[in-house]
Amino acid sequence: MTRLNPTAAVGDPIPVLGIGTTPLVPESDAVLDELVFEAVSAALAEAGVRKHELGLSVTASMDVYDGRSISCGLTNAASGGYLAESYRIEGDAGQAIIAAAQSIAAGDADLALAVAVYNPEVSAPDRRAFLQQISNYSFEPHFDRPVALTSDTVLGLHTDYVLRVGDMTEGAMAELAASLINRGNSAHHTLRGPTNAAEVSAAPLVNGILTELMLPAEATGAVAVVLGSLARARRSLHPRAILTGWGQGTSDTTASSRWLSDPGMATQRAAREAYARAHVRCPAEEVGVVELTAATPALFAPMLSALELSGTTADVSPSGGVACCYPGLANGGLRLLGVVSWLERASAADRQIGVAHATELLSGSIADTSTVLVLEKV
Amino acid sequence: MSARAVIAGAGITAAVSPRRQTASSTELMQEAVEAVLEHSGATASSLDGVVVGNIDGFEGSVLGAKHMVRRLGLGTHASVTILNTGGTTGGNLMQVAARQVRAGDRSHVLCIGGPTFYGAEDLQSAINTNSPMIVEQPLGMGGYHMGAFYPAAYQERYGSTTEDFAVSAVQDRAHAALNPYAHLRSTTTIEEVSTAKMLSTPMTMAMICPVSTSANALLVTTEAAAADLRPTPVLIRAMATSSDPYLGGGKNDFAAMENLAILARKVYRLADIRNPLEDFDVVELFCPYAPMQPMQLEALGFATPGTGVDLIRSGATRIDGDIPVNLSGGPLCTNAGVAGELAPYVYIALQLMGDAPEEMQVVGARRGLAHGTGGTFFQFENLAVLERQQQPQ
Repeated sequence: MTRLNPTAAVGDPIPVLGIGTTPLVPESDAVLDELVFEAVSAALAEAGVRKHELGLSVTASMDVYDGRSISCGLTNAASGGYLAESYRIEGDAGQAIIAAAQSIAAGDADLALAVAVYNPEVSAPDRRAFLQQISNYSFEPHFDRPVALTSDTVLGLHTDYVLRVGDMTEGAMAELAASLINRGNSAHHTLRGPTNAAEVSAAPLVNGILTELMLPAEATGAVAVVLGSLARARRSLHPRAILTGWGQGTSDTTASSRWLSDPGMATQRAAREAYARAHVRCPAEEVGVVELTAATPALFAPMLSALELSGTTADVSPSGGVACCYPGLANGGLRLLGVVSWLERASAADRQIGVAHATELLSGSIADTSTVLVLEKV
Repeated sequence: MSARAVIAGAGITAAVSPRRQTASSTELMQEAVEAVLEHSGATASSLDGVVVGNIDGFEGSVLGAKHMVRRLGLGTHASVTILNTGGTTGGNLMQVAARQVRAGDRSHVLCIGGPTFYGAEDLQSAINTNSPMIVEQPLGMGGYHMGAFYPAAYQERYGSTTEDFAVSAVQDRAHAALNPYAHLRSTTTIEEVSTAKMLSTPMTMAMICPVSTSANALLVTTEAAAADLRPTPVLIRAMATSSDPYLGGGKNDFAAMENLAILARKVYRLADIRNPLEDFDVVELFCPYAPMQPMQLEALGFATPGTGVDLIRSGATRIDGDIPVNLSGGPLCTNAGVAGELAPYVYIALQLMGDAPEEMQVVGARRGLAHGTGGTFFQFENLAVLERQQQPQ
């Protein structure tokens, strides 16, 4: 008995049948296809599904991180694509999960897998410079690139904006960063130890007042998720949660200044779509947990607001969020895992709905694609 | 609730070599977008999704799709999905867009194929970086070296000559001469093709696609949305992809396109295609190297193994033949990267709508087959069966 009884109003309830991850660590020794194989094998084993049963495999990765053209060619067989339906999205895992869900909702597949892999070719101490160089490429070439816009500079500019308009103080930012790092300290995938606001402020400066400890904790690795149709899921081992809604939005370029004043624009769009699909009418009252992707403390409130969760009593980023572990393009998968794990622990008295939010962060909040996944406890 | 997806508009720009191109990448994509909106009658504000591709390393820019889309004046309301699967990127755009529509998430999704090779310096070096790193990369293997494995094995099995492999190049150039959007529009001969500079045995330079610049776009909508648009809608009856491993050794047999044959059986099953020669009215294949075309025709069931060249020689694949193939001239005459890969889908849609350029229009075409391939050793394949729908009265 799988006890799959999703809310009746939901049009396309799609159970999460398995989640697999590699170790999420600062440096992965394995190469791309080994990482993909490990995560996919774990997810399939948990789901009780064989590769050849998959109707679709969607990979999220990016050639410029991987150091080779068409890197999905290398990883495709490991992801379940051999003689099967597959493609690669250059974006976050959240997009791949949505694409997999869409194939099931479309009636094109009964079992679909999403996997994201992130293991940039260049290691520390040069990694940050490498990532910022790549980030710079993602900006408009005539005006944005020459002034050295990168994700760090965009996040720094936004943080400065928040300080200047008085929405937050520098001290409050350090407090929030420390609090997130500490609350995720017991989480399985955390990369940072206990800290305090003073240590956060005293950490090496990255851009403006932003210190390393105010920015995501860079990790590498892979995360895979197996989804199934409701009919097929009833014959699976032990569904972990039910995906009831999903949404995706993309923000504007620097041509408008909304990235500065309204960095949650794409998230807001994605959230509206996801809530509509999941029939969530009042998120602040219905959602029990949200795993947020806020790249800086200054983005925390705007993202919560975009998710219509300002003032919520929901558990916000119990894993510590990206402050504790940010596995690049695999982030959307990790955020989903955080929500699923929370729902599995939730009692009948807890709210039964969770939200996983992810953004790419490749170019900060500019031309950024955000995803929102709504999950329900089994 | 799942829904059917249809193609409700197509736009394409004329192709030229990068050296003669006067428009920028953005301007070309802008022109293609304007063309599809004009063709369909849709407005930019009606779009709720954009699916776009780029192939980093092959382009004059990096992460081009990331910054390009929002510069096309499409508004900020449409979410953007970026694909990269090498040579199948363009063909996969339509499939991803169709799923967004079929899933009920989107009603008007625009697929944009850009001029990937515009500004690229050394494509063969870029392609080398996706080849296996133990043997092929150090040997300097590029795209046409990988492509030559197939005809070399085919030649060994069937005794084909260089002249045999030239027939599809000659025919595609004759077709392209009638296509106002094609890049190479001059005709050629078997002798010219077979005596051109040998690049990778048995392929001569004239059997290999040009580097072109152009852009195109396709609008995928729900059936309901298409009812308000101008063209005769084209139903995406069946579509799928299939993949081989990236190692050449992962293929069982280079003398046959087995992965494509497996994919064809799947797609034909979905579309209830039992006799491809009779069931299709028009076909567009992505064959950037001339010898691929007869092999693809065999894998797709239009010819028995070893007889693909005979089928082309018979005239069956001309506009007045039983199964017109690559009336656009195909990638042997125009290959602009992602735009080149989306082109088979664009041209089949135009044919079925009755909106192809007059000289290349197959009169009364009702069902077509669009194909794409790419990746290391052409490991990826995509295929779709498209059908003209009757517009509601």
